[in-house]
Amino acid sequence: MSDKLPDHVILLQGVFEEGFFDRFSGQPQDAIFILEGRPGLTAARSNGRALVKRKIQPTVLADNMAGFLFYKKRVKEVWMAYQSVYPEGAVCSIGAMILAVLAKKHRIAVYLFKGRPQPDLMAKEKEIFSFNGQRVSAAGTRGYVPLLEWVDKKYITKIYS
Amino acid sequence: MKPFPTMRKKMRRSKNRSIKESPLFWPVHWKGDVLSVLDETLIPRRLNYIKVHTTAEAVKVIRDMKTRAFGQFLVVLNTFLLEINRHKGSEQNLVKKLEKTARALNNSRPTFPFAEVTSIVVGWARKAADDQLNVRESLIKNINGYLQGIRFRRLERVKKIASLIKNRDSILTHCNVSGELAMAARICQEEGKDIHFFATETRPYFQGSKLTAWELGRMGASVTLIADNAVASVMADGLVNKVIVGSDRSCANGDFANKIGTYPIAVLAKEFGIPFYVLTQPSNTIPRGEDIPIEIRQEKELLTFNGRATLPFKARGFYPGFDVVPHEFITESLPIDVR
Repeated sequence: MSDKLPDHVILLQGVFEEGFFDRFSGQPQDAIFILEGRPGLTAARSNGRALVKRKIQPTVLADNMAGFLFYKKRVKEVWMAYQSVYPEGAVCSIGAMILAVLAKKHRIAVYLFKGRPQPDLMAKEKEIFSFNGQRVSAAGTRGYVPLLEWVDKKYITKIYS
Repeated sequence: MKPFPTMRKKMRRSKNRSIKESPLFWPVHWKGDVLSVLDETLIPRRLNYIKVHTTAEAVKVIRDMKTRAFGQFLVVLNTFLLEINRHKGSEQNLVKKLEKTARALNNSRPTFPFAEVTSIVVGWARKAADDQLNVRESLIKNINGYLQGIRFRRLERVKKIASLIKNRDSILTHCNVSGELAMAARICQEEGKDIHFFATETRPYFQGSKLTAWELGRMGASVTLIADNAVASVMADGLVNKVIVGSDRSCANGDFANKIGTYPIAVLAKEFGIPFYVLTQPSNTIPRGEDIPIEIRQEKELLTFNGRATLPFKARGFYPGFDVVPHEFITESLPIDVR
């Protein structure tokens, strides 16, 4: 798909509220890239379903693949879901800080929108020991699975509340 | 720094003892006339070796990612030995056969510099033929000597990595560096260093979960697995103070390509002031990172796992196999020159 990569990608990160997706009517279909959102792939499942319902087929990336699009200068905007906002920044889904720092480095705008409530700060470590029903790590491995992280205001262009 | 409880094992033994090897350090062996290649996709469930009889089978184990990183390098060199052993014809035909083998290996995957390795062997073969030497004997001697040299330099690099790691360090690593980091961890333990590792799971093939966490654990190292999206979190929270990664291809200007996900880690490390170390194989054939051919793999490898779709709707996927990291993000390269 590299040759077909669109020039102006909008990256979605986190789990957005249903109404958020109404703004996508009129966007070129290949411009919306969504991240998986390990451990549960909740972001890809929820955001993907909402987009498909609006006849927009998103392109899915694993959580470690967004950097490639930045490096290739294909990212136009980053849209992230937040849990709560404060004068100094926002609490967002895990992975938000990666995109925020990449966006800062590449001078790309980062917009925050209200996300679906995610009450848990951490998941159980066993959630990253398997994937799609198959164990992927050795017995005895330890895991650390934060679900939320802090994004400082210096990385945020605008918050839509 | 002591972010997580570590398994401090003061196994102070003689410094002269040999380094305990990870199966991933040298994942290709000979069983009689057949090449045995460690099937890395089955780890940690079992250690299984795939029998490789021909160049076509060698290309397949590379293309199917049964082996990767340093394993590919070993498969390439040993495939020449395989073809030399199978060859029954004239010396001149052997050179042609090896040129054909080189072309097949060069086309197996785009990002790893196969042509740089195969051109060395083909160069030896042509020179031996020109000098009217016994091509077969000359090549076997050269390839085996070359492999021994690489092995020695890798073991030396393992010691260098171990010396880079200080007491109470907490190291983030991504994907897998073919045994070297795990072996360095073992040395650190034997030296009484209290260290910890964070390994990213490395979607979509989970080399971090399956290989790195497994081999570090096997060496008795303290390791915590994290999802790929948690790398900024562990850096921002001060849980890591060094990053060590491998590389698949280097450029003349110092840029390098490594498993997808390495670029954000490098950018984050710089943002948080964390030293970023990379194990490299220097090369001058590509001037800079933008010129590295990046393999784009099939979307089904991202969108299915264990034979089932990962998402409940029809999606497109995009799966670049590698990231390019510009040299300005590197604190120090730990090179092995394989040219």
